[in-house]
Amino acid sequence: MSLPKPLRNSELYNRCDPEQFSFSSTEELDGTTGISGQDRALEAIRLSIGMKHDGFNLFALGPAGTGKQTAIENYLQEESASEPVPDDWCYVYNFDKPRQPAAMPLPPGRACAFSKEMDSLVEALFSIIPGAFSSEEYQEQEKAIKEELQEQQSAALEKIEKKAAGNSIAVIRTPSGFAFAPVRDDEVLKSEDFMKLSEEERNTIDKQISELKEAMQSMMMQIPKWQRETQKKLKELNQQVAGFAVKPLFSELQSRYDDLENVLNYLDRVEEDITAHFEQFLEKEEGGMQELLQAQFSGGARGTRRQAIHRYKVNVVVDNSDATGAPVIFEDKPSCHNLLGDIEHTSHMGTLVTDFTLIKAGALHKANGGYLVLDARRLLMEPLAYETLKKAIRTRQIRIESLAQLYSLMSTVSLEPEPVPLDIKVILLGERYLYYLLSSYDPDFSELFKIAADFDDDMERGSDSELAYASILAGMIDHAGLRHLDRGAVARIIEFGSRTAGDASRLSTHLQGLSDLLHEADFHAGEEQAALISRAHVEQAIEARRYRAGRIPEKIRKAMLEHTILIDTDSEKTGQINGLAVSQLGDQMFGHPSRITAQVKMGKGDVIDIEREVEMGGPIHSKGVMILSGFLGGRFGSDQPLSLEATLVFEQSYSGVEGDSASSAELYALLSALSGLPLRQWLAVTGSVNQHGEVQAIGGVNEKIEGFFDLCNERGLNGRQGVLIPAANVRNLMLRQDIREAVDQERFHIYPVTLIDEGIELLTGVAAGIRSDEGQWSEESVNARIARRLDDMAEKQRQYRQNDKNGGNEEESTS
Amino acid sequence: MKTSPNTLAIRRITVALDCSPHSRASLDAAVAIAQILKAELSGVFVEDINLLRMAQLPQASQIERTTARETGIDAAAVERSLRMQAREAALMMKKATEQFRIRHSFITRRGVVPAEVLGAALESDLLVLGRTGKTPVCRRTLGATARKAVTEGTANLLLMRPGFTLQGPLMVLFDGSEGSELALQTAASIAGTATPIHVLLLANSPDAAEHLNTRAAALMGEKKQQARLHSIPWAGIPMLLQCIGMIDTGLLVTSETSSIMTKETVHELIEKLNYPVLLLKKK
Repeated sequence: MSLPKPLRNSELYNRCDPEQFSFSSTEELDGTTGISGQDRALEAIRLSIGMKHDGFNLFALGPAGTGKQTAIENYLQEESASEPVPDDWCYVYNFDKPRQPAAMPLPPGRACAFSKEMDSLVEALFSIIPGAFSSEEYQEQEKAIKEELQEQQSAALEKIEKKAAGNSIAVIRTPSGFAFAPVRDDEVLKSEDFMKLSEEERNTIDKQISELKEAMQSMMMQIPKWQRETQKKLKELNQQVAGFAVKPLFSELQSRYDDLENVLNYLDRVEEDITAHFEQFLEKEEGGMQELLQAQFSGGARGTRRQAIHRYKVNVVVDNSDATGAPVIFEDKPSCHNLLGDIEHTSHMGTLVTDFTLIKAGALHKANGGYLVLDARRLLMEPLAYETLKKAIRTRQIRIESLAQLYSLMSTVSLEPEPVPLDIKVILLGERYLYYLLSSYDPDFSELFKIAADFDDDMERGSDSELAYASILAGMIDHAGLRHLDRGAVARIIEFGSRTAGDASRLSTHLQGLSDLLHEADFHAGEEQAALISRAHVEQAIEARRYRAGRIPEKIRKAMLEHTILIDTDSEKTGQINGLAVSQLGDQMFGHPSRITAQVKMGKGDVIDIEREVEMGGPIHSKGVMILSGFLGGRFGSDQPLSLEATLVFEQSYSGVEGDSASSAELYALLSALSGLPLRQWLAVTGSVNQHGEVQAIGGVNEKIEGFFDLCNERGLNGRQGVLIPAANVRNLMLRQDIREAVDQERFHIYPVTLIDEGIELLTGVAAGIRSDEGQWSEESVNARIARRLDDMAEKQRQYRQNDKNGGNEEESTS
Repeated sequence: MKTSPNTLAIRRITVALDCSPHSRASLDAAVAIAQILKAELSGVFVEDINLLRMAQLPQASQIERTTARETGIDAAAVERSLRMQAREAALMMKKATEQFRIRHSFITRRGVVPAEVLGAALESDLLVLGRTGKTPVCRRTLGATARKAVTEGTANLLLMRPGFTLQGPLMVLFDGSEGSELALQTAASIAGTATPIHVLLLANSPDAAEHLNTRAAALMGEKKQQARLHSIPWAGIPMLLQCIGMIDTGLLVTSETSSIMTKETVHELIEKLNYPVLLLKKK
């Protein structure tokens, strides 16, 4: 078996050649902000936007910063521009049900004009109506009607008085009514004189008074009727005068809106209402809000000038006068109120009051007829907002509901505005886990969000995509107003994109990270007063970033240099190896070596993971260790049971261990312990292993190599140090320049390992050995030594059992 | 108001009070005149003897104004009611005069109302009372007391009605007679500095109208700028009423004596007129 050769410099880094670019700086590029390499997601967006049926809303899923919003924004900008501008919407007073303001659509751009015209109309009425009612003609007619009543009453009373006078009876006004009494010479008869009259005379007088009383009663019964008739006549007159006065104004307004039936109907109702309640335009003083609202909700006829202004106001909640296509609304805070709109209240004398002019539109109103883009996480964090959104989509209408009212947190006068029909495409942006959670646990979700646009974390790297990347960078620069990049800087950022993607053949689509790097590089360019950002500036930014994040790795490394953490990089030790671990703190990853040791004793074939025993090992790590048992059993336990018990431990590990990337290192340590062959401590190992001894790919390979390199570099590179990595991870390598230089100078080595046997040979300097057809391993090979040791252990165990058994029998017979 | 030799000399004013809206208007007008002319004000409330007698009649009853029901009348209650009204009238007068420091007195008399009111005003230069008294319906014609004061009273008479004040526009009937000259000068003297004075020149020819115009301007002196002169021919009361209605002004100032109208005609005009009137009977 041939050993793997150390990797060459060219295999450690996928360099981007700046000379391949035809531009000298990104200033020459068109600066698209679009993202390439997301064809699957873009196809989903296209399908969702194109589908006009219910439920084909979109969930754009992918890690934050991968350009989901940018991609959707760009697509919608193009798509929405060619779509019709939706209607304006306004709320107006509902004359039949004042608590339920009416929603009224108008063609785009006409609602505001209509609102202003209504304001002007109402303002004009304050001069026109008083003018009509102060005209001489009206005053005459009103006076005539009132005088008619007076004359009617006077005539009736005078008739009674005359009849009474004819019988020498006077009509006398008492404090509370009328009375009748016989008179002589204009004076009422004294009671004694009255009693002196003959009985016949008294009876006659009584009878006459009785008749007069009846006549008076009859007349007085007529008075309310006459008053009602007069009021009716006055009302008719008033309405005729008011109607006549306002008619020209309304005719003019109606002629401007004769193409809109709903507006004409509304204007008819307003005209009727103004005619019926013309008195409010005669008011000179303003009343309080309370009076206003009471009058509004009671539908009262009497009101104030302020009420008149309010009652006929047009509350424009959606104004599309400046729109050029379908609206695209991004709502940053998708709370219930911001989505559905709100009914605001004002405080008056300690009481909260409202009216239809205080209805506020929400994002759904503004996006109606177009697109609403929301961040799924923020939506889910807002109480009831998700449910509210679903309800609106499902019912296809926007019904403004106050949460406080809904949950009885506030008890005050409120409104129930008429729902607005909803025609909208909702696009949610969110992490993948949110999409999967919603899909699993919300039965409505799949019905309402049928399309998923899955944004990839990275994209293929090639010359086309590198150019596209440059174009994206140019767009980001234009957008942020930064210095442009020369092509060397572009190349370096592309290399950075590959490093971020953790794959030399791919580019990260995490645009936010790129944007941050651009800003930092621009800062360094600014310090040097450079016109363009160069490769050196980008490098400086990357280095500065590494330095900023280097506090903890440095402390760990220092502890290793001071032998507080024991990491041997110089000698050879049996059953001890340097594994490579990677840690993540926030968005920073760093690697460092970790000592792994193995001990073997006689036992029942168990490999004990001490980390697991003390519950410091994760399930994947435990799985990796169990695989070792499988490997040992498969290789050495086919003829006899394994009579060993091995323990494995991460030395000086005080926090949990997870992942199986150390499983190959653990196996090497175990093989060393079994074979008795020491391992070269100047080599560190990473990679997982399967039961067949194949070394498998792991994550964070660059950081792990860099972590070990930095330690060795501090101690001094001696040309022996290096790292064993899975061969499958070679494609992921995007290593730092200093490492590449050390490799170039053969001061540091990186070995791509495919099989455990390759690794153990590199680590021990002894051949792993090949098993003959008879099942014998090559003489003095690692495997032969292990097999021999296991045989010895098995034999000893047999003897021990035998002795134990014999001793036990003897003891038993003795007893 | 300056008093010139040809204007009213009013030192004592009697105002009839019965707590009705008309009498409230009368009191306000009387106070205004008393304040201007530094006159003494005398209020009179008459306990209607006819009402008291009627209440004492056997089986006396009344028809209630608000319900049209027939209810009995208690004579003692009527007495109490009249005393209460008298107190109310006295209080009303006190309040109205207090702030202007007007010398005033108040008397309560018992008897037939018109006779007692006229009797109380015998020593007065001006009697002020409402066109009608308390009534459930608004009469267009004069009440009994007002009618008697117009026809039989000797004092100058101010008939008020609610809704009018002396501060509003005035109207004067001017036919060139001595009485109408007095009326014109009196109107000019009581009018405020910005109060319009509508002068109806009763002339049957343009020449006569021109003459009256010149004379009126001369009589009004410095108030002639406020004059609005309207020339109309005398063609009877209906036309005159129509003209007054069209101008629709406030207080009408007129003399009982006229070169065109008889006293009875003047009385008939007052009877039918729906405005307050200052009727000058003596200088």
